[in-house]
Amino acid sequence: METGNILEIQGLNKTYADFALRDVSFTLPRGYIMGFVGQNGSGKTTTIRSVLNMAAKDSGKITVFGLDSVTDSIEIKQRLGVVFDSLYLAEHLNIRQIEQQLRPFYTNWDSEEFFRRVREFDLPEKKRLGDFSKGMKMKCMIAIALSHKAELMILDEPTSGLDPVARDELLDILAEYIEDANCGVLFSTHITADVERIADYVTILHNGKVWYTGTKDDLTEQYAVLKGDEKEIPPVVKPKLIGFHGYRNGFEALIRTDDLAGLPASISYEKASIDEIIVYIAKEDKHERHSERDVV
Amino acid sequence: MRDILNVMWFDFLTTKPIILPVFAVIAVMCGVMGLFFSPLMYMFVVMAAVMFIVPLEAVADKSGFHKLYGILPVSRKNITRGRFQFLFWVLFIVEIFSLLMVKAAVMLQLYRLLPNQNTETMQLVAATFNEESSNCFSVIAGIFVVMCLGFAYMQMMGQIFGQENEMKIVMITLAALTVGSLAFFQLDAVGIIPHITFLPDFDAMTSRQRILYYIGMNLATFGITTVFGEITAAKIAKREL
Repeated sequence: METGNILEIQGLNKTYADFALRDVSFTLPRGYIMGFVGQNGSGKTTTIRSVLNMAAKDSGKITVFGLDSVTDSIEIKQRLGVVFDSLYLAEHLNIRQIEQQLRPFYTNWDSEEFFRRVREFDLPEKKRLGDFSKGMKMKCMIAIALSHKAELMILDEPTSGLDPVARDELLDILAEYIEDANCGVLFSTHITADVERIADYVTILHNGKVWYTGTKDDLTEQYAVLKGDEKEIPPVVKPKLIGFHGYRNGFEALIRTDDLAGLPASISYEKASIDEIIVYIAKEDKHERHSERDVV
Repeated sequence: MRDILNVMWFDFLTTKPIILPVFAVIAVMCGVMGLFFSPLMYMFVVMAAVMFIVPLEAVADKSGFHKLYGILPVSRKNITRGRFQFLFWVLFIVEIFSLLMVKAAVMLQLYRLLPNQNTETMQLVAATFNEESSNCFSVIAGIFVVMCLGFAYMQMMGQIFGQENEMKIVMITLAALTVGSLAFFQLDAVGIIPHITFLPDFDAMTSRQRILYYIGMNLATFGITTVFGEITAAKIAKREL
């Protein structure tokens, strides 16, 4: 079993006319699933496209399996499985024809494994891919990734548009895949419930910057949601509130658990979910703390 | 090289289910008519072969192949090269098949089995089976060259400037060709430039010379198609997917 990081991104910068990734850095160790979350437009897909060398980075270094994402791109892609939010295969072909098309490209392609997965996922072999449901298309892309023994699976919003049953099946497949400690999964989504369920690590991207990267447990332990009467917030705590939202009968805000000391008992708090963290980051960005009575 | 072959195979499998049945019908119809009525019918088989190339861009757009190209373990340049090689080899194989069928039709002279041999129409049919005068080989080879270079050029311009600009490119190219040709023939007519004969006198050539001429023409077409592919690959290699 290999050890170390399966994916490393250091200081990734990429500028478009209306958007920029700024100094994005995070690492994914082998044997773990990383949830890659953030609002729409936060830069998740651009980061993934940079990893795949589909977008040319301005600066920074990306290594996958210890190989450079630009110079060793072909070798990396032999060992990489990718699932996008939409199908990237010819929709007028059936599974058998797709297998014939892709097989020659991969040195590790295993046709038996592919058709075993196809049967396991209940995919019809003679039906056009265009007639597949979204869940079936997703499973088809996963079957392809698993058939060339991908060591790293990158999924870009795979669960968006899937019904709860299909989402559940997809997460089960990923959980089974990661039982091989030599593999890794980078799983971009804005459905944070999926991340809460299967991810070991989380990277939150906000406005093109990494807001948090680390273990999921650390994240949820580091932040809490405060609720109470706005007048009872000690002045020293006020600047530490994130995404303050005041309303007629009180307020809500996110706070680091380290900053909870000194709060009066009348202000309650509870562990923040990833969803709440993302919402409060967005609120902070919109300066909602000034929106109601301009007090905090 | 293996990557390019894989891309060619990929492209063939992409269009095969859509085109092969239609192409097979055209090939069989032209095949039969060519044997009995005129070997010139085989030029339509070469023309029909472009059907394998035409839908590729539309399928690629509809199916999000730009994402697939981003994840396949093959370089962007080889994907482009593979497309141009696929274009050449599909047309070349069909050209060779058509030329062999012309040879077979001329040798078999099956038109003799048809009734009313003495009619004027049947005499015209018989004339097309006369290898010396028909020049079927030249017509088919010429059509292959025009189709191959024309589509390779369009593929190059489409990939570099975008498929959405294809009509503009066609119009500009046709206008340039028309103006260029008119100017050339005018200058030729008034004797400003020396007279150039583009086509050799095939009737005066021996069989060996003709075969060498066809080989040279095919090699030149292969070379130009490959150059178009290289130019395109170099232009779009750095473009984001």
